[in-house]
Amino acid sequence: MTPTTRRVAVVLAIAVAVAAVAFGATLGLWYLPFVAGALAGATRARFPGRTALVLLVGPLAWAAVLLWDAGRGATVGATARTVSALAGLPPTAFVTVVATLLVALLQATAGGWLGRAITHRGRRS
Amino acid sequence: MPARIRRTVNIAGALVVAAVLLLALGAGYGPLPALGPELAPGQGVWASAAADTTAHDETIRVPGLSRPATVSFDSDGYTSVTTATDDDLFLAQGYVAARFRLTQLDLERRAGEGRLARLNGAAAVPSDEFELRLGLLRTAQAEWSRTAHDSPAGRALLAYAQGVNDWLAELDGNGQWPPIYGLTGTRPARWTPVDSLVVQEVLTQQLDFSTIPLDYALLTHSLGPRLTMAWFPVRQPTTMSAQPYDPGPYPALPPAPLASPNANAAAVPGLTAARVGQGPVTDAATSAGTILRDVRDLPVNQQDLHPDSNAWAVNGPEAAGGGAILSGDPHLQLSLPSYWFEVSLRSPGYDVAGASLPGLPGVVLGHNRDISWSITNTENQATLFYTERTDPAHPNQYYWRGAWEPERHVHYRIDVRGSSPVDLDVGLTVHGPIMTVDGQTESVTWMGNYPSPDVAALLSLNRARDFTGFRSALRDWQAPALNFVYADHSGNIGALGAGYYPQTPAGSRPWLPMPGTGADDVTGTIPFAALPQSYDPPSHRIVSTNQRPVAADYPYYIGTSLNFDPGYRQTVITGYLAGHPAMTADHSAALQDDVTDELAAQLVPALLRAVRGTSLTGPERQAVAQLTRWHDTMAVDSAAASIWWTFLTTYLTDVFGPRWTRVPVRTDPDVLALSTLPIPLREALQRWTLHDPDNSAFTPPNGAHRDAPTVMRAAFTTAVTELAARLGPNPAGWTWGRLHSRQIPSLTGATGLGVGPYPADGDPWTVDAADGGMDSTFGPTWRMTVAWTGTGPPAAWAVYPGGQSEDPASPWYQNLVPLWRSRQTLPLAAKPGHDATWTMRGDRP
Repeated sequence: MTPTTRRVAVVLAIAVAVAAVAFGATLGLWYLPFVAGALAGATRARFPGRTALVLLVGPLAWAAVLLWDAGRGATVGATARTVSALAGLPPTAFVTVVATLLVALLQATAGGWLGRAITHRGRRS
Repeated sequence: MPARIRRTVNIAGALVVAAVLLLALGAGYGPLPALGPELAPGQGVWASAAADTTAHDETIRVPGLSRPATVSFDSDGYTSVTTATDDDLFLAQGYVAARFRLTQLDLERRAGEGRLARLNGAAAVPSDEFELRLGLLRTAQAEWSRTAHDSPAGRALLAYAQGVNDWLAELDGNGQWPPIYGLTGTRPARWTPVDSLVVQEVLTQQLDFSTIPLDYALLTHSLGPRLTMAWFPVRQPTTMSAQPYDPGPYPALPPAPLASPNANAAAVPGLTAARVGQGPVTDAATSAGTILRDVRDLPVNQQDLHPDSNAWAVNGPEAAGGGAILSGDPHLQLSLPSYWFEVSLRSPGYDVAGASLPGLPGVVLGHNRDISWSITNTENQATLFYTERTDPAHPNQYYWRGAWEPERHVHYRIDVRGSSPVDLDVGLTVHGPIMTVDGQTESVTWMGNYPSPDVAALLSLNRARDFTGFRSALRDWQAPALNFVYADHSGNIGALGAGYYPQTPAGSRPWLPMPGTGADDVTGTIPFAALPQSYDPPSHRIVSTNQRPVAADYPYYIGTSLNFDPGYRQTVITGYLAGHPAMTADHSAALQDDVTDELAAQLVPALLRAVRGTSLTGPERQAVAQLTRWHDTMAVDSAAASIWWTFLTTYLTDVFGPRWTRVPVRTDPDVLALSTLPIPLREALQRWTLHDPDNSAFTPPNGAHRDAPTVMRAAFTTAVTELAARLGPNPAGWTWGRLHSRQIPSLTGATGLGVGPYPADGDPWTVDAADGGMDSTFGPTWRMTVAWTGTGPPAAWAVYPGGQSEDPASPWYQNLVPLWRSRQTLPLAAKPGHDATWTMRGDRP
């Protein structure tokens, strides 16, 4: 596989993962960021920024859904503000959006760690 | 460390972290909800982002509806429901209420049923314990069991519940639950008629569960009985407080029996009427303090506070063009969403418009094609506290009418979100629920604990055609006791103080906790024929402002000077009406916005006389100039208003403070703190200042002699000094808006979902009242004027501080607030050109 082909494959794989996590979220599959993180962590592919992408696949996907909903007229910002206020947090949309993305990030991180831990054999002693 | 071990540790660590994280995100932990499903985009809290925030044209399948119906909305959210049957009307009303006010419905019933902690966690346990002890749920259940399910009220309640549940079923399908449910991981249970009756009970508690006897117990303990009754008399000897809408003459009829047994009392068979001696009162102040603290810990909208409602009607020559005009503005705690939902209801049996209470079928105040009505709280004493005689030798018993009677006990388990359940045991005596055993055993007889067919009465009222029908409908209204002020299409006006007014034997002292041994038990209520009432009075004016509605020769006890408004608003309104001999609807609506302080009109001249000729500082001279030019209006830009208010607070504190040191203010600051200017003290101060300036109250205990002018001068100096320190040296800049504000908080208590605080005019006793402190949260929850000055249906206008939707994301969440703030109203009808229509169809083909 040439470096270019390899890059295209990586980009495609990430796009598919983001799309899958995003679609899964709308179906109630909230744990897909973890699954995606685990799969990404388990892959043996190495490329620059791999760790960051593993971590961000969940938040990117969830952010995409929120943006998509907002674009379709859903009251994403106002709802986020309401949720922040009801939770006793500063009543800004930012808080709930960050909390949402943080949940995805934590999942992806935990998944990535688990995937890497299982597949990574380390240095032989 | 060998690599294999490192790898094993790494995998184990990753597995543990992943498992813990997924478990916490998936199932929640403690009070933390399941953040995974609840924060996943498109799910949980985000699902509601896709919900319709207003209304658009759609066809809705509504199971249970027998014939097609329509619900239309204008651009402000005004809602018109039209159905082919009466049952369908209330089903559609329930559906509409649930779609726009589901959280409010659920919070209200949870509050009344003692299930708030399931939603709000441990912080709500005290509220749940109190409500379960008081027994709103037991009363509602008893009321529903007494309601024939095929009666108009029974059918309306069942249909309403069906409508609410139809919307809940839709939410089950689309997942668009209001965000509070995503945050807490709970879902509202299906609605029942008992829930509607509990919502009614919550309002009854807010209007009727007075703790004044407990305050009297504390005052008697701290001030002594002589000073207490001198400063807080049963009746004030002032002309201002004697402005009844029913001046008599009064029939002297014996008390009528209460129509149903107390749903929260232990039944005792074989009653005898033997009068027995008074039991020992062991520690009244302790038990009173405990109950008061429990009450004041409740959410504000479950407390009986700050009665400031107005309603008036004029007719004949007092109404321009003849006919009649009615205006009404009930005052409660302001909230978003509001108490009220504005609606028109049309079916074969109903054609009514006005303010509905989410949770209840029908309209609570408004008009139909023939009559109109508004309400104020009667403020009569509806709670009687009894000190039960107990003995360790007779556990779980109380001494009553010569024998030891067993308490009845009810057990509850309160589910608490994020914590262990709490068990609660409620004891009931023949008087009612035991509210505390701290210090002594104290039970309460509350009129709200008697099952009251209010829904039936309300629906009859909605259909009434004339004053006879109006009176007939209210014959069964029991609690809360309310003044219903009336005007009709024939130009008649009237008022009726409908409800229970408990009576006790002569010689009892119902304003204090009474011995529970039997001699002071309730003997009945004021008979319907003797209730406060008026119909087409010669003055052509009826005004109700929570004042004592009857004159001094009324032969029944209804409460003390702590219960009733002192008459400042009454005086302003009566004066305005007298000054506008041919009132128009615009005049009437303008009166609702009046912020004249009648007490200032009385006392400021006395203050100016007191300081005249004395040596004044520069700021004091400017302050005097401000007051001299002032017209007693608590306007937001008035500096004189600030000077007056600060002076009055100082003056009252200077007079009563030296004797107030033993009063346990912190137990009930809303009533006992001098800074709240307790009503009877205000009245006493006014009376002494104007007519008895050398009253001994002006001289502090063991202090040098003082009279009213002396104390006024000192208070004025202090007030000016205080204002200068707080607002700067220039009195012209001491505007009322810098001291005084209003806010409309969210019903959920969430910061950021309300309106304000913003600088505001008014004070607690102006017609447009701003009560509840210097950052006021109490005010007119609805302003309505109905003019019967033409032929056909009336012309009506209304506004309330909120919007039809409880969803902060909705344009209808607070769209009416700017109108309310700027004192505008909207027609109480849909504006031409409906914005949206729901076509509702049932599940039958």
